[in-house]
Amino acid sequence: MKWSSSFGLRLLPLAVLASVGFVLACGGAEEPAAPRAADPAAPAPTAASMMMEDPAAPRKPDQPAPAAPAPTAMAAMAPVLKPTPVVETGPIIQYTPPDEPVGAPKQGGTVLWAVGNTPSVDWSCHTTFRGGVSQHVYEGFFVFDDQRVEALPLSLESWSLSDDSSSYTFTLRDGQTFHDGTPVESADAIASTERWFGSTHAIAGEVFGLIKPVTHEVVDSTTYTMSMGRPFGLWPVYQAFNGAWIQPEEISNTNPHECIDTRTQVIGSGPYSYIEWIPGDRVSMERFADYKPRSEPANGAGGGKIAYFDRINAVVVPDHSTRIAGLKTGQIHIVASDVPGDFKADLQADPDVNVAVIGPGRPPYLVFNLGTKPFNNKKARQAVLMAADMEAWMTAAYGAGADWTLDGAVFMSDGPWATQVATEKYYKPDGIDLDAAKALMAEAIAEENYDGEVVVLGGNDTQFGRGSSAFTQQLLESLGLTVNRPNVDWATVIGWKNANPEQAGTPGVSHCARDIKPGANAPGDGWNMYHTRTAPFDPLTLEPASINWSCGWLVNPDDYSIPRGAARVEAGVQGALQPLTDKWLAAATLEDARAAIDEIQEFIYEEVRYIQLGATLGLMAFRNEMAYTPTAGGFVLTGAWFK
Amino acid sequence: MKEYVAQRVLAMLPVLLIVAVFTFSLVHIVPGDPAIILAGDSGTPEAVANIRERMGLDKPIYQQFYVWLTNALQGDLGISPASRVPVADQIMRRLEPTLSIGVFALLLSILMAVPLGVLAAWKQNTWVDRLSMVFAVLAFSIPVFWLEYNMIYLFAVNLEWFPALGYKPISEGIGQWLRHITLPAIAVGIISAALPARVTRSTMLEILKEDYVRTARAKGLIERAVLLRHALKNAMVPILTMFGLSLAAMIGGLVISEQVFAIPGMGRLIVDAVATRDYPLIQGTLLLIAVSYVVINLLIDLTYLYFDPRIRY
Repeated sequence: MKWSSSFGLRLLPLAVLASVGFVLACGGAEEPAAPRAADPAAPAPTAASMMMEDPAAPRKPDQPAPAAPAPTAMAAMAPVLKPTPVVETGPIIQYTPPDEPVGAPKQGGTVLWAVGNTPSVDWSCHTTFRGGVSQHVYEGFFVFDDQRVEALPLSLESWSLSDDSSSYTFTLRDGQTFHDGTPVESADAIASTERWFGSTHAIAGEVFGLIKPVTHEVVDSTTYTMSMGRPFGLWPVYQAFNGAWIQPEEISNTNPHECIDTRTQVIGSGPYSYIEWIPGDRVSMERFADYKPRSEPANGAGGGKIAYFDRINAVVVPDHSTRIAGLKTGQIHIVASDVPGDFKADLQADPDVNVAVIGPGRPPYLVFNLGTKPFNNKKARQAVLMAADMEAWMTAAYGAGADWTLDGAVFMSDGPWATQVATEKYYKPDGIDLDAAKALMAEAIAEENYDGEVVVLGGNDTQFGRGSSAFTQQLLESLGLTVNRPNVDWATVIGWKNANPEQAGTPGVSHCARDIKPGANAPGDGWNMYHTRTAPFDPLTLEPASINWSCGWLVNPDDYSIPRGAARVEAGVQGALQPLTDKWLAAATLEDARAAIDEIQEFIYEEVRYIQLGATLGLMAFRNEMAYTPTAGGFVLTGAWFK
Repeated sequence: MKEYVAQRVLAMLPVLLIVAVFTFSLVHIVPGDPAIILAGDSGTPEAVANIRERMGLDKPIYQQFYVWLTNALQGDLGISPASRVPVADQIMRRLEPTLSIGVFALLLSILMAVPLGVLAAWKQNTWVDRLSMVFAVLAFSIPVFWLEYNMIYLFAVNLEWFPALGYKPISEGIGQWLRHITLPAIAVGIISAALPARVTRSTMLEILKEDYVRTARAKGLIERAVLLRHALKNAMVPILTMFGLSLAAMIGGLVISEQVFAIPGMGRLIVDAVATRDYPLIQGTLLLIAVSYVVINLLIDLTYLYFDPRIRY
C-alpha cells in the first residue's frame, strides 16, 4: 500500500499502541507467526541484506550478513496507527512581509548569515547539528512542512509502510548526486541511517532501541526496504525531528562517535556544497550546480529547494550587539536566531531590517537530581513547583523585553503534541501559595532528616544560567533552605553533573554523585539541581532525556545503578513513564493518542522530576535586500534571493 | 655579547619546560571533562567512554604528557577533536589578525603615550600636564568594550567609515585590511597608552632633574635635543619594558576586542577552546603565549643595550 505523506499523517490515527496491546493480549511469542504481508508494489529484494544489531560497530564490507531474525508474533500484530500530531495548530510565527514587491527571483550574491558560535558541520558527532549548515549541505530523508505538523519526504521520491506497520519501502529520487559527483544510491541511504542509529543523539538511540533489530535490504540502486522488530509508524516524523542526512557510504561507515575530517569528508547531496569550515570564523558553502530540486513548491524546510545565492557564508559573530551592528550596516544579511529581545524595538524601527518571531518555543528547565536529599522526596520537588512564580522566573532568566511565553505544556503549546491538562493547577504565572509550599518543604525535610546545603548549578557564562539560578536560589531560600550556588560556567556544569569519582569508568552507569559534600565547590561534590535548555520534548524522547538529565527517572529512585542510553535499552530497564509512552505509541485513534498525552502530562506534573519554566521564541532579523519568507519548518536559505 | 645571547637562549629551555608542565597540568586541573562536554547534556556513558578513548584521556596523565610534549617538540600540537583540524594550523590562521591588531595598536599607543608623557613632564603642573593625565586616567579606567561599542556605533553604524565587524587578511588588499583593523587597534591603542604615558611622565620628571640634563641645557642645547636625545633616550628602559609586555599580552590578550569585533584571532581561539574544553587547542595556544612572553622579554633585554650603553652583559 502506498502512502502519500499527507494521507499517511492525517489517517495515521490507527497504529502503534494497538500492536503492543495486541501482543500482550495474544500472549506474545506464543502466537503462531504469520508470514509478513508482502507489499505487492515493491520489487522482490535481491541484493545484500544487512541487519543492524550494534550500530556503533563499523561494518566491514567482507563481513557476512547476520542471520535474519526469527519470525515473531510481530507479523501478526494489528497495524499501528502512524500517530499523527494530536493538534493541528502550527507554531507561533509573527511576521509582516514588507509592502514593496519582491520581483522575480534571481541568482547571485553571497549571503552573510551571522551565527553566535561555531556551527558544527558533522551531523553525527555533535548534538546540535540540525539546522543551519546541514540543511544546506545535506539532504535528509524527511523534513517538516511550514507548520511543523507534517513530515515531507525530501530525498525520497516515495515511501510506503507495510500493512503490519513493521516494514518500510523507500525509493530515492532519481538523478541525485553527491557533491563529489557520485550518484546517491540505496547503499548510501542505508549506511547513513545506520550511522544515525549509532550516533550520539539520544533520539536515534531510543528509536533504534524501540524498533531493533533493523534489517535493510537493497532492492535496486534507488529502492530499499527497512524491516523493524516491531510496528512503528513514526519513522517519518522522527526523521523530520532530528534524523539522518545522506552521506556517501564510505563516510557513513566510519565510527559514528568519531567526528569526520572536516577538510575532506563533508560531502552531501544538498543544494549547497561545502567549501570550508574555519572554526570560530566561518563556514562557507557554494551553490551546487547539479542539485535537482523537487518539483513541488517550497514548503517549510522541504518541497522544491531552489538555491539562488551563489554562496552562503555562516559568519561567527559571538557578540549580540556586534551582530546587530553588522546587520544594520549591511555587513550581515541575516541573523537567523537568538536575537536578544532587547534589540527588537530598535530593529523594528529600522526601515532596512525585517524582524520575525518564530516558534516553536525552546523551553528552559530546572532539573532535580533524584538521588540526593531532600529532592529524592516528591514533596520537596512539589514544594518548589508550588512556590514558583513562573513569570518572575522567566523574567529573571531572559529579561523583561525578551521574547518568551509562559508555557507549561510539556510538549509545548505550539507543538504537535500539545495539551494543557494539569497546567492550570500546577503551572502558575501568579497566585503562588508560599505558606503551603513552605509547609510541604518542611514536611519533606523532616521525612528525609536533612539539614545540609542545597547545591544549585547554572552556567554563569550565559544570562539564562545566571538569571534563572539566582532566582532559584532566592526561591529555595524563601522555602527555608540553605543554598550553595557555585560560580561556574556551562562547561563545568555539565562536567559537575556527570561527575562521580566512585562510579567513573563503570560502563553504562550514570556517574551522578549521590551525596552532597558540605561546602561543595567542585565537580564530584554532588548537586541537587541544575538549569538547562533544550529543544522541545516529544513523547518518545521525554523519558530517556530525563534519565540522562536527572541521573535517573526510575521506578525506584534509590536504585542508582540504572544503566543509561544504549545500555539501558539493552538491559530492558524501563522508567516509570514507559507504560504511558507505550500507550501513546500504540494509539490507534487520535483520541487514544490525546488521552495518552494527557496522562503523560499529568504524570510529569505530579512527579515534578523537572520544572519547565516557560518557552523562548526565536527572534530573527534580516535585511530588506533579501527576498526571504521566514518559516517555522526549519531555517533554510534556499528559496531566498537578493532583490 | 654573543655569549650572553647564547646563554639566554639556553636558559629559556628549562623555563619553557616548566611552562609546558604548567600548561599541561593547568588544563587537567580545570574542572569539566572534555569527553562529557563533547557528548553533550544528554550524552550517554557509552558516548562519553568512546570519546574519552578516542582522545586518549583514558591513559595515565604522565603518558598523555609525554606524548604531547614529544609531539610538540616536533611542531605537532595535536588535533582538535571537534573539527579534526591540526592545532598548529588553527593557530597559524589566527595569528595574523591578532598580530595585525596588536602591532598596530602598539604603534598607536607608543605614538600617543610617549609624546603625552614627555609633554606632561616638560610642562609639569600646567594645563598640558593635567590634560595629558586626565586622558591617561580616563583611558586606564574605561573598559575596552565600552569604548569599542561606542566606536562601532559612531564610526560604523552612524558614519559608516569603518566596518562594524570582521577581518580581511592583508593578502586581500591593504586598504581592506587597514579598514578592518583600525577601530579595534585604536580602541586597544588608547587603553594601552594609559600606563606607559604615566610611566613616561614620571621617568622623564626624574631624569629632567639629573645633572647631565642641567649640563646639556647650560651648554646651550636647544630644548628639543635636551628632551629627546638626552632625557628621553635615558628614560626608554622602563618605557620599553612596558611596551614589550604589552605586546606579549596582546598576543593572547585581545580576547574582548576580538569578541566585540568578531575577529577570528588568538583571543577568541582560546575562549572557544576553553568553553569546549578542547585540550589540545588550549595547550597549544597557552604554550605559544608563554613562548612569546619569553622571546619578547629576551628581545627587550637586548634592546636595552642600544638605549643604555652602560648596560653590559
